[in-house]
Amino acid sequence: MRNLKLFERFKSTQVHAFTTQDSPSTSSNGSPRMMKFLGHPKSKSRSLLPHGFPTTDLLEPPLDSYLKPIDLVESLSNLYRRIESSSESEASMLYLEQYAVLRSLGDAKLLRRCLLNARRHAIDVPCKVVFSAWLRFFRREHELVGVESMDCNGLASECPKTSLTHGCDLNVDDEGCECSTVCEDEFGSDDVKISKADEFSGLDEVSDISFCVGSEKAKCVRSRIAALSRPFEAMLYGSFVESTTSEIDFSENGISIEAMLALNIYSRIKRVDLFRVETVFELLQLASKFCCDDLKSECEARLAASVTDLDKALTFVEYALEERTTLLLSACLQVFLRELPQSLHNPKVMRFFCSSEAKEQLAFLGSECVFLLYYFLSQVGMEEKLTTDTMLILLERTREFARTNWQKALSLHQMGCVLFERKDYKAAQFHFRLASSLGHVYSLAGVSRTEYKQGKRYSAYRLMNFLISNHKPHGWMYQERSLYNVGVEKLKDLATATELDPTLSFPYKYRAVMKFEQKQIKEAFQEIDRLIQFKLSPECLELRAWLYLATGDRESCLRDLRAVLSLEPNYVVFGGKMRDDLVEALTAQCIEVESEADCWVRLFDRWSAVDDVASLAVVHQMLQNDPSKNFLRFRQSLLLLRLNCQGAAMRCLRMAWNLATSEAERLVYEGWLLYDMGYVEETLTKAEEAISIQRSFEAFFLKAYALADKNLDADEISCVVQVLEEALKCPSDGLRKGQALNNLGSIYINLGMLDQAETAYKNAIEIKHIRARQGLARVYFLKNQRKEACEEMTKLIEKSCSKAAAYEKRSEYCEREKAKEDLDMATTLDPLRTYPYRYRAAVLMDDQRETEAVEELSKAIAFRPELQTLHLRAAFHEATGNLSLATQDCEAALCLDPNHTETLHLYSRSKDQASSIDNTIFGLD
Amino acid sequence: MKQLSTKVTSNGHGQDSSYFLGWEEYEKNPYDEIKNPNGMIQMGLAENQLCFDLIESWLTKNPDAASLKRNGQSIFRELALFQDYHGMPEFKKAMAEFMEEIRGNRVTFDPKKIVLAAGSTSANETLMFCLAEPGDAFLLPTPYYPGFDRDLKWRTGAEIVPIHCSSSNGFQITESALQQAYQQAQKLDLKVKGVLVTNPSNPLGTALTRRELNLLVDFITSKNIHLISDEIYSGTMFGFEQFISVMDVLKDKKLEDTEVSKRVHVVYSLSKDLGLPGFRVGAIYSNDEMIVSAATKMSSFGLVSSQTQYLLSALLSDKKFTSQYLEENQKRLKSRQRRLVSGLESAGITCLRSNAGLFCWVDMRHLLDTNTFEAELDLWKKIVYNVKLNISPGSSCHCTEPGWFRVCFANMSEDTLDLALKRLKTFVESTDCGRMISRSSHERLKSLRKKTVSNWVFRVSWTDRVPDER
Repeated sequence: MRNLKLFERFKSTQVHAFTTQDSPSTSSNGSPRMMKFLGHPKSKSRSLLPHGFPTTDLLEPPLDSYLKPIDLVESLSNLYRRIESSSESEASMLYLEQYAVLRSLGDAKLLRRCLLNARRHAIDVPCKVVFSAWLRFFRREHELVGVESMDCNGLASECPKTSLTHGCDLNVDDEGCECSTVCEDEFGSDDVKISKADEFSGLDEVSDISFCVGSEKAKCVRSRIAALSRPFEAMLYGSFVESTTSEIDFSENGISIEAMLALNIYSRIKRVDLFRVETVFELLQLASKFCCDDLKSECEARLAASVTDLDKALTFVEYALEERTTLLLSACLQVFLRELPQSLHNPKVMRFFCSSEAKEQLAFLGSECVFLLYYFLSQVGMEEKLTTDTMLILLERTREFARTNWQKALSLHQMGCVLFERKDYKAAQFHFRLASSLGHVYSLAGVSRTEYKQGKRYSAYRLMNFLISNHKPHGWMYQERSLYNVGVEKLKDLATATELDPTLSFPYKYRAVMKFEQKQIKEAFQEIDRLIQFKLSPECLELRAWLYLATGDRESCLRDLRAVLSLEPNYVVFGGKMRDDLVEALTAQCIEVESEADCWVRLFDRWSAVDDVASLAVVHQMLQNDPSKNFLRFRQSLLLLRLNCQGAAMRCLRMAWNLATSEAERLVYEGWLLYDMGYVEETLTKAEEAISIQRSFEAFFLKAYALADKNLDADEISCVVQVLEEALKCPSDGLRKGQALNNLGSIYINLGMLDQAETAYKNAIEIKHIRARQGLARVYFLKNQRKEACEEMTKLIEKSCSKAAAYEKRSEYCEREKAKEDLDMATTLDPLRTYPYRYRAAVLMDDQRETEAVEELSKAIAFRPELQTLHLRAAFHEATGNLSLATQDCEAALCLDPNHTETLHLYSRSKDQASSIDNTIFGLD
Repeated sequence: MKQLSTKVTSNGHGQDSSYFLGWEEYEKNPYDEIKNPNGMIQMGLAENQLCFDLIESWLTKNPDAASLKRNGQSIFRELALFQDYHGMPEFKKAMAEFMEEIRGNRVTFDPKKIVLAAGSTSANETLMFCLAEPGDAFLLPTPYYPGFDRDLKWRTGAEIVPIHCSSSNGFQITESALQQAYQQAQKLDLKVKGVLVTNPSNPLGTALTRRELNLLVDFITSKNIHLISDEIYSGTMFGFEQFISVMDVLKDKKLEDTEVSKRVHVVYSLSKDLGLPGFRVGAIYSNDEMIVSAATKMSSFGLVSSQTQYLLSALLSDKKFTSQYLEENQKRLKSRQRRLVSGLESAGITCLRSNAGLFCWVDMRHLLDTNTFEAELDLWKKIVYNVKLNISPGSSCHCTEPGWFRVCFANMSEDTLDLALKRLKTFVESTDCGRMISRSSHERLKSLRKKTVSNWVFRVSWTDRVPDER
């Protein structure tokens, strides 16, 4: 258990934003001091304030550790073309590259599709093993209690048995893996005695030759043994002495009599599954020696199948490396990989991966495969935020086996990031420089940051200056330069950064803290609120909680802290410089003891006001009061999804799964987990199973939801209505019933049954499901009552705490001028919504202001390259005759959704047009 | 009620069809620019109000005609007593010449073969009485004028068997369609007495092609049956093409004065070409003396009043006026039709390419929820009750494909037409947004988008619907 200290998780940058009074400088002396709460519980909130304040001087944006192409659309389009024209053996690695390029978008479904495609196109067993383990890790199945790492979970792409067969599984579609039926009785137990094998009929043949080991004999059939390989044949029928004797002494071969007996049996019935593992090992050696290829692969397969736990894997892996048996090696690696991330903390496993012998021995798998192996290992390490020596070695291996530019640049950049976290700025800079020299421009941000850290602020500034003047400007460039700038210039850079990329959170945080320092309390809150409204992160909520605490608003502070802990239960609030029971202390101070009923009332209130952050806080409090209320974790996941926190939502679902008290309940959570990975059919199966055990609201709701997701005809849609009605008959509370009624309404709209839809929506509103107003507005709109539709949306805007979506919807129902106002408002509130950009661009296009129209879309694409926007820009380009740009946008869009019909049409159209133009030009020549 | 005839109690009149229902709705709430700006706009009425100013100015210049005077002297007494069912010779002569003029003077019309009738309604019915026994059938290409069910069947007891035409060839008449209709009639045990066509077609707004006319003449020749060509819209041809009458074809085929020519009858009226439906002037033109004589006798039941004959004979005899009128009328119709077509197009709606008539045959199939006549009726009700436009659904015209509508354009001012189009466009945009959610409409949207590529806002507002929350 050496090196345990190496596995310390690194402290994220936010920690450093809080100074301690005794060390107000940027001292890098590591571990922050835990300050004890000094005041009395009854004292003023002031005493609850964390020791030290966030100050503008110490705020720093984190460095992103993934690839950030300078022109993502171009990179994607290039990648799409390469994938489309790739050979079978190239495809898998191209999909991996797609994964690396798309990583910066952080779209889980998209990334999973890349990995799935990579897995499907992988041919060699070791690569298949890595991808299937990666897919499993991606779903974080290791967080599910009671799920064994080597179990097949029913998804063929992740099945540990399927991955051990050679050749690509292009059609692996994950609709129920069949490994369990195929492999049912293939592997007998190790203890089957050889003597028992006499019963097998193939053994009847009369022996005519004996192999002696010491005093013992193994009676065999000469022709059978000869048939095993050419050397045996030569020995037994050739011009050797052995061809005439009936007894051959094998004692000198270092082989046991058990192995010779086993060889005899194998020669007769061609089975090795009856023997003990040790015997199979011996047989394998014998097979290698006498070139019995069939026997060798039989033995390998037998051994590979027996590798099911870490100990065995550790025992076999060295042998596999020595003998260079790919299959056995893969089986061992598979065990290590499927134990991730735990195996990263297993010193034996890490010693294996980090040893220089392994590096040399693994090379026979081919550099591509070894790169993939270490890339996966290091990615898991990056996600675990490791900054240990091991982590550096893994990255170093990744770099050593990297062949293409993106592979090298990525591993170098990531090494830079890890070294940066270790405060080894010099070494970090070295790696950043190398990465940037390979064309990864973003690594220059790392270079300048390390310059800055080493006290060369001006040099850092100049580097960013150079970057901005030489490239198409990106938000991050200005953000980076702002760090090195001062005064008005600094604020200007921050403003530009936000304008170019409103999703960067640092500028908002900086401005908020600055305004707070300047005693502009209201403005400080406005700044941070603006960000939280559309992009929720623990860091931003933490900052706001701090601001609240400092202004004495303990209730709001508590709300935000609870939200932080809902997002990330292990988050170290205020850099750990707070008393441990801060939340409890605050609770005690703010509110008289709330009963469960009080909590429900508050939850109802917040939920119907579409105040998701506050709802999250109430649920957190309720869970704290009674952790056994597992369904609350499910509610948490719903709220987190609404807040666009997919990862946290999934984590809550897994928690709920782990703590489920009944099978039916667990099946529902499992269904949702599958649904979020895009497995609709499997979701339906789980829902049906759950219903068959217990007819519950959530089971019916899940079924209806998954059903509605499929492309259904009218009859099938009306079946969804029935399922929802079943759900509504089951007991649940108003919050859920409101949602069910709301969804019922939208199904009715699909069926064109507007009156029924209206009733459903009105019923939902009746029980305070305010969001149903949106559906009701839609009904009015479809009934050609635009005015009523508009009014309904106005009501929603008035009542709802998150208004961006409502403004956007209202714009569809009101007059053109008003529509523009609403959409501008939607963009102000939530710049991530792309519809407003598209609408404004369309207006410009209709006014024949094509350049401005394209610019409007490009603005959004710069920070959110999304399918519809790319498709529209492609259509604009096509309409204005810019066919090469149209194809480029189409290709990028198809990277995001290769089956988007309209883009496919547009793509082939613009390619045809382009080629016909080419032909014309050619013809003129 | 037992004492009443079945004519009265049965629905043979067809007044209950949606064609007339729309009118009733209109009567309740008629649009008026000032008094009732939200009222219903009548687009189901094929009236020609575009050239009233021309006729009015002629009347001012020729005061004698309307004030029952000849060379300044009153002829009131003469007119008051005139009731010869042969009609006034000078009026019939003027009518014949006007008909010749419309046909580019390529064919001649003998005034003696003209029978006057109180509008084409009466003319058609009279012909039916002359040609068919109760239970005999006439073949009519679909879609056809809804009023024919009343005009041809109600009192005569004759039957209509449809010739099914389809949008695939722009609703042209084909030989196989004719044969099928003929066989259908035989299956129903009906004796086919003839074919009746409207040329230019109501409700399609297209004139028959020479190919179709040849086909028709050949068909009635071989089957030894009659052909009635209702040419009451012949003066509305506004395209580059010339109007081809069945008389042209007879002449070209050198069938004049043959047995076949005796079985070809033309119906004409001044209701559409001059925009005078209230004057009730219609005519039958036939080469068969017996029919002319019988129809003349029958015309007692619906004569054209003497002062109308007097007034119009003066008007139609003014060659300078008629030629100017025809030219100007066509010009105005053309510009009006274009206004309608382009307005519809901007709402993503197309029409059958037309070259005549006071209406367009409009394709709204993409707005139907399903490809059924129920859906057509639903859409029609929405348009009548919500959009407040009275248009005629294809089903009332016995069209075999749901989703077509007849929309008239010559009975209103330009402003009113623009308002109607604006209403329709708003409606279409709203329904299409709603339609986006149903998958089957996706294809329709796509085809619609192709037609309205330039309207980017329209396209954008349809994209990505957010999934429901959990």
